[in-house]
Amino acid sequence: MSWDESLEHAFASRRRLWLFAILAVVVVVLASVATPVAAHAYLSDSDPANGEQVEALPQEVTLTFSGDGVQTADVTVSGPDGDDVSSDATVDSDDPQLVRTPLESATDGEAAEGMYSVKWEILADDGHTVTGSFVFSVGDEPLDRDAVLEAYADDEPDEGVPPGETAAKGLLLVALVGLVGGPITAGVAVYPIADRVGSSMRSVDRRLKRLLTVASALLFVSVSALGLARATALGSLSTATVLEFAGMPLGRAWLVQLGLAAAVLALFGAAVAGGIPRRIWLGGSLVGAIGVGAAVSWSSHSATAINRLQGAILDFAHVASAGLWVGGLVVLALVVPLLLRETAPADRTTVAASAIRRYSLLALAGVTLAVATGLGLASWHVPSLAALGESVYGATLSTKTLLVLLGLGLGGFTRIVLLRRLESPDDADCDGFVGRVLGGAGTRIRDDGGQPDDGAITAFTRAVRFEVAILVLVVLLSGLLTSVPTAAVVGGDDGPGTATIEREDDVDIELMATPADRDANDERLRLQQGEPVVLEVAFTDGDDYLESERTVRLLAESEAGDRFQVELDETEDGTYATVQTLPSDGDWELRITGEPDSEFVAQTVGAHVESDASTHDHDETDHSSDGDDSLFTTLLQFGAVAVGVVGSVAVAIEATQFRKRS
Amino acid sequence: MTNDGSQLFVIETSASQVLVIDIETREITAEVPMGPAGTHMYHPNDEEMWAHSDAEGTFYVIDTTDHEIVETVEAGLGAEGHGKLLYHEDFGSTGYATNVNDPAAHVIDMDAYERIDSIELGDEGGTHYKGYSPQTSLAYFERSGGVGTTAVVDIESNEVVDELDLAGGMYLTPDEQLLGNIGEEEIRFLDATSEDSDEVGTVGVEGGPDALEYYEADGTLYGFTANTMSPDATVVDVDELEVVDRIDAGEIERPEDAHSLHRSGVSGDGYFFTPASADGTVAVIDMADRELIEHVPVEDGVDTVQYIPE
Repeated sequence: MSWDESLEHAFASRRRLWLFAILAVVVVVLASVATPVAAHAYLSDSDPANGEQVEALPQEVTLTFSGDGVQTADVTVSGPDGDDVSSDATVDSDDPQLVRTPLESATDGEAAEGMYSVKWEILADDGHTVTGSFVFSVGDEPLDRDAVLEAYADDEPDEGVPPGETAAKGLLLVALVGLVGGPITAGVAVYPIADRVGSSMRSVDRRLKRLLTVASALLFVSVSALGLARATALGSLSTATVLEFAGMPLGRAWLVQLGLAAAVLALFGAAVAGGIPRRIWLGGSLVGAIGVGAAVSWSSHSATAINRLQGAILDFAHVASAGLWVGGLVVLALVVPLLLRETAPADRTTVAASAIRRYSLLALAGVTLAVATGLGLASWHVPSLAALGESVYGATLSTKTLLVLLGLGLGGFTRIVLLRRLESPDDADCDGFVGRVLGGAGTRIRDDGGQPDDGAITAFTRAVRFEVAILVLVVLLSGLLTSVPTAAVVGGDDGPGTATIEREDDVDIELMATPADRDANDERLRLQQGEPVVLEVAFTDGDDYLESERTVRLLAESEAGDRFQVELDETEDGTYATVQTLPSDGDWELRITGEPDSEFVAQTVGAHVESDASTHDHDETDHSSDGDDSLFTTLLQFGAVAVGVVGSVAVAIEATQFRKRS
Repeated sequence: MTNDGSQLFVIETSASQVLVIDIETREITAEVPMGPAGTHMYHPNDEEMWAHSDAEGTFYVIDTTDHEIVETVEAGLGAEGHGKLLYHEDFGSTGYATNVNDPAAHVIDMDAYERIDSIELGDEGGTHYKGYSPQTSLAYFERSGGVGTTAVVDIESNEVVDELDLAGGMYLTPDEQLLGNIGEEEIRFLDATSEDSDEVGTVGVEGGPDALEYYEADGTLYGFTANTMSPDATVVDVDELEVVDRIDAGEIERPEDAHSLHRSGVSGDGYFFTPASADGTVAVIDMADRELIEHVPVEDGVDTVQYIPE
């Protein structure tokens, strides 16, 4: 029975097809169920609250997180003298979103008055470590500007690249790509051709088994390493740490992935030893890789931060399609040349061309899905074009995109130019630039008297291997992308953004607010209700800061009638600052008065204060709220749809043409 | 109110600003920022309003046309303290500022917008109420902070010429002959034509009199006071130095922890107005008939009244 007939037999059997589908679904569901229902965890409330002034030092500080549960927490509360006044933090046994930190202070009463800073770090159910900080004060002592700014700076997402996790993730993705794309490409583009020309498949089997064995070993090692890297969030690596990690929801999910990876490795161990039919080790590789891939996607950035099911599906589709493209290319680069060597010289170009055509169909589908899902993922995680240059995530994605474009270019060259040369060597331009680059079928004479069109095959092999190298690098970069905060998180409301409003007159006034936003076409500041804001005023004459001869004051009045007036403190920088919390949402007017250069000045600035409910929203799809960000996101989403549609049409056309040729 | 009667300037203390109201339209046309704790405001010339910030001991000079702060004039020595401004056409462009933290009367050059001198009146306490007699060119400065006397200054020489054993607000009669001084439970009248500020007589007024407005009827001069500790306004026959009437004017609020109480009273076109903050009304009294016309309900918090003639 030929491979084609064999494949048809295998998949024509409805019962086996159902068994195959059920097995795949069971593996995916098992991996998914074992994965905790996790979402991006963030601090939603605390007691005392951020910027709150309390009468006396409380007995404990409580942190309430939203998104999902907290596995471990480390909280440090520092008093006015910088001393640690906190005991060990504990996660509430009945509510995993609640963390309590008892306070112990040697002082009480007036001696305990002053500013306190709280720094926290948690390991969330999604495996991400999240950190943050805030401040509160005891007594009437006003909040200190520098301390508040420092707290906000500490609250920024850590963009550090975790080397162990990044490397493990990258290698895991490479392994998945090989284990997904390899069997499919072999089944569609290698074995049918070999069967048709009567080539021996033994060496192909051997080469492919070795390739997939290496990939499965890489999968097992990388899954193991990833789990161990994550376990170090609980402490230094030890048996106890690993066991503690394995007992957590995230750890249990890791165990499932490890089990699947071990099963795939064992399968190939048995396959190399012999005795397992080809369809079993090919199918097992594919199913095992899909299972691990689904589990990885279930806890991806997209799944935990955007939408569990939608994010996981998109993420998995992206990885799987990359598998079709890159994994298939690996087979083309490493297995097809072996097949060609086993093929009669007269049939080599035909075999090569046929292999490329068959693979191209898969690759076209893979590229279409990979690019479309990639654009879709980017629309979630990159809020604006500027964000590409403002974070590690953005820079990595930009590099990855460039490499993908290079890979696509090479792929196009292989598909269009080389394929044409293979199929019509007499018509090929041997004297043109391409011909000279390729060595030209008509001009190159082999020493062994071989066929002159072997030059095209050599060129094809070189091009494919170069393309593989580039795309493997792309996959490795994806490991970095999945290990650092996304551009949306980095550029989101976690950072201490500063908004500035300037007014020009005889004396120029500059008002800076942190944290604050300001829309491009709006003269108002956008502030957050209940959150301490550093308001800083500078009087300038050109580049010089002017000193005010009178106390600089701020009068804040809301539409609702709330009103307060404060004096600003002069800073070392020559500005005047205060830290205030606007107690109600809505529109406010901030009036600044002072007397720089013996001239009384008064300026009023508008502010819009947003309530806690409307702005403390970590749904990244809402991040692009202003016009420019929405346009960029819309363009990406439109691009995703357009690529999907155009690519699907191209695949359909290619499939039709392929059928006609066949 | 501006001299031309077109605008009303009102200190909104809680917002540290002065509101400008167009009298014809009765709409707020401007909000002019000033220092905190604004209390008294003066209109020494047609172009300017001088509003005093007690928190800074500083006058904010407001241009009555463009509603901008022209200058700030630091009157108090310590850049703080409740204060008033004494000015009269006899002084030219000079004014005299009092400050409860300074035992002095500060000489203000109102053209140069600066304090040019301080007339020392003692070693302790401060200055508060002020008065002036054009007949004698003598200025009177109450010595506050427990001192309980009033310094007399010759404004031609800016020297202290006397010290009177009395304290409280001083109110010159329309004919500039007498200077009424409100003390505790009494009103003392001084001869405003006398270089020695001779005392003419005293009228006992129960109920804590505050704010004295004069009215002449049938050749007799009457004084109307609003009382802080009783719900009435007292009418005094200044010529006979006797209380002739007490008219129901309503109660003011008396916070328990208040160390001093004030009740304002203004008059115009034969009417006497005084707020009754506890009742939420303003009493309107016919000065000729010496009878209450009405308790007019007003919003909570009204404690100052300005009469705008038609």
